[in-house]
Amino acid sequence: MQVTKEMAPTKRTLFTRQFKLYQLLRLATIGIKILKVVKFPPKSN
Amino acid sequence: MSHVVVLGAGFAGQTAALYLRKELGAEHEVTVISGWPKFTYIPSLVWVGVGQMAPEKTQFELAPVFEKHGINFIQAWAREIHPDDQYVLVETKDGEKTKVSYDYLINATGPYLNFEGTEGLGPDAGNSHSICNIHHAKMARDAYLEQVKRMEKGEHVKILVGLGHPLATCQGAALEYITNIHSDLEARGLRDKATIMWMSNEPALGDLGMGGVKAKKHGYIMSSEQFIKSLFAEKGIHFQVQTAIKKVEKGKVYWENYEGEFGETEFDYAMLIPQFKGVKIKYIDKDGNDISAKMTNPAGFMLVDGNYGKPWSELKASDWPKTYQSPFYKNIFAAGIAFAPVGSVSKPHTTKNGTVITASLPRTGMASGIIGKVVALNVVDMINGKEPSHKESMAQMPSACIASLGKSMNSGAAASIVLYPTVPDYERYPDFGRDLKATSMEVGLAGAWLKRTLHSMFIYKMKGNPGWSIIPE
Ligand SMILES: Cc1cc2nc3c(=O)[nH]c(=O)nc-3n(C[C@H](O)[C@H](O)[C@H](O)COP(=O)(O)OP(=O)(O)OC[C@H]3O[C@@H](n4cnc5c(N)ncnc54)[C@H](O)[C@@H]3O)c2cc1C
Repeated sequence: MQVTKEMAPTKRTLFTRQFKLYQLLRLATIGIKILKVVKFPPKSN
Repeated sequence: MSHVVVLGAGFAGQTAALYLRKELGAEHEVTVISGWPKFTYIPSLVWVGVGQMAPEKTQFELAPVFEKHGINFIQAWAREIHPDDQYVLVETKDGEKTKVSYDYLINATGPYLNFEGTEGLGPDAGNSHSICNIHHAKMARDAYLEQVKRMEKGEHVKILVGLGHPLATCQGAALEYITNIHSDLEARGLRDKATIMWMSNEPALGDLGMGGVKAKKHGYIMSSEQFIKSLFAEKGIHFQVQTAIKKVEKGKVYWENYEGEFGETEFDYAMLIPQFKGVKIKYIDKDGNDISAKMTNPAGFMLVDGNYGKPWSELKASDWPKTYQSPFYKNIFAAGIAFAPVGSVSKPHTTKNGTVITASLPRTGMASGIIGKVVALNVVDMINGKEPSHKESMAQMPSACIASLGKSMNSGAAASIVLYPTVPDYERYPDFGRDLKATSMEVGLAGAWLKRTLHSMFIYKMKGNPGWSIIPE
């Protein structure tokens, strides 16, 4: 078993993850991203 | 007139039944056979297992939904499939056996939870818990809340979450559970009273049975290993990967790692996902011979149109099944977890002692729904006198994994991982096997909102409420 501190998020990252206005924007972005890949999956490279 | 029988009413079976009814005229009959009278939205069982969602909120009665849609429903367990004589032998909960004949059959019976595969594993043996069905999730919740009481009294407890078999899958669900335990204990002010430990068969942290994920982040290409490592660092979760749990006793697991070393880890509470196998249904031919070994792979999953039998290093994206039709009986299909994958995506490993440790590929709700739809439309094709024309392999399918890290709509979070394709295609995407433009990973409150929205949206869809087919699988 190991426990690490490597890659632990900074206070700023933790703040943005909970900052509601920004997260509203992220919600829209992720939602669109999912819909796009579901409805229009990449056809070729 | 044709009679289509669907075995199972989970993501795959329910989706298939709804599409069949939508696409077929009233002269055709659709029958669903399922052992339980309710649909369970399994992804939310991670919340049931920590006492943050009432079990009833994850379920609805199937009979009224099927009645509304003109779908026949038989509450019974399929025991035998007779493909030559085209009937299924079913057994009701009273032990009554009847034959249900079919023209087309869809096997969507999901996984058999193979607790016997690991000595002492599971709630029946009394040593560990599972959240893979509603009954198990309720037992897991009660046992977890007992530990919470101990912590409230000031005791320190060890919590172990992970994969309970060298070949187990569903790493994502276990990950959600461990992080939800962390959040729950934090909200109760008890986090310092628990050591939380992750033990899994993954080759690396964040592999998730999908061979890991790469995504562009902060101007770099980041791996899911770093992504999950960051989460565990934030939450102080101890971890051990490349490990096969071989035996569970009260308060102790016995394991073997990639190097072939053996060890033990003690715990007060453990939730360990068992190996998934195919549901034990026998296939019987016209002469009464058991042909299950021909119809299924050794784990009991139904063989379909995949290119089976290749070693892992030679597997290509094009080997994955596309129509999910049985190669032996053209009127039988398998959907969701019931179909046999051609292999694992994650790299398998054999220890010096001969133990094979492989994180098997998760077949998620999204994949199961998509396959349910593909299979239904292929059956419709055949009823209309055509060959199955709908093709979508897991190497052509996206995945959207919204892994809850805490349920609260105010302070919760989820890891949102979007990727395409689910099974990497190194011919199309030689560098990473996936399209990095379509792939992303992030953590935030938005994910918690999305996860809760998906819960309501999919229960709405699975009930076949107005507009259900507009909601993507
Ligand atoms: C805890 C947990 C969390 C998860 N979270 C997510 C998530 O967040 N997102 C995601 O996409 N996926 C998630 N998954 C995976 C998802 O639940 C599965 O992919 C999905 O349930 C598979 O659908 P299915 O229809 O193949 O099987 P199931 O949903 O298991 O349905 C099988 C059906 O067959 C019936 N059945 C079984 N045997 C018989 C028989 N002999 N005769 C008749 N009927 C039978 C059962 O009663 C059931 O109705 C999670 C899984 C778990 C365990």
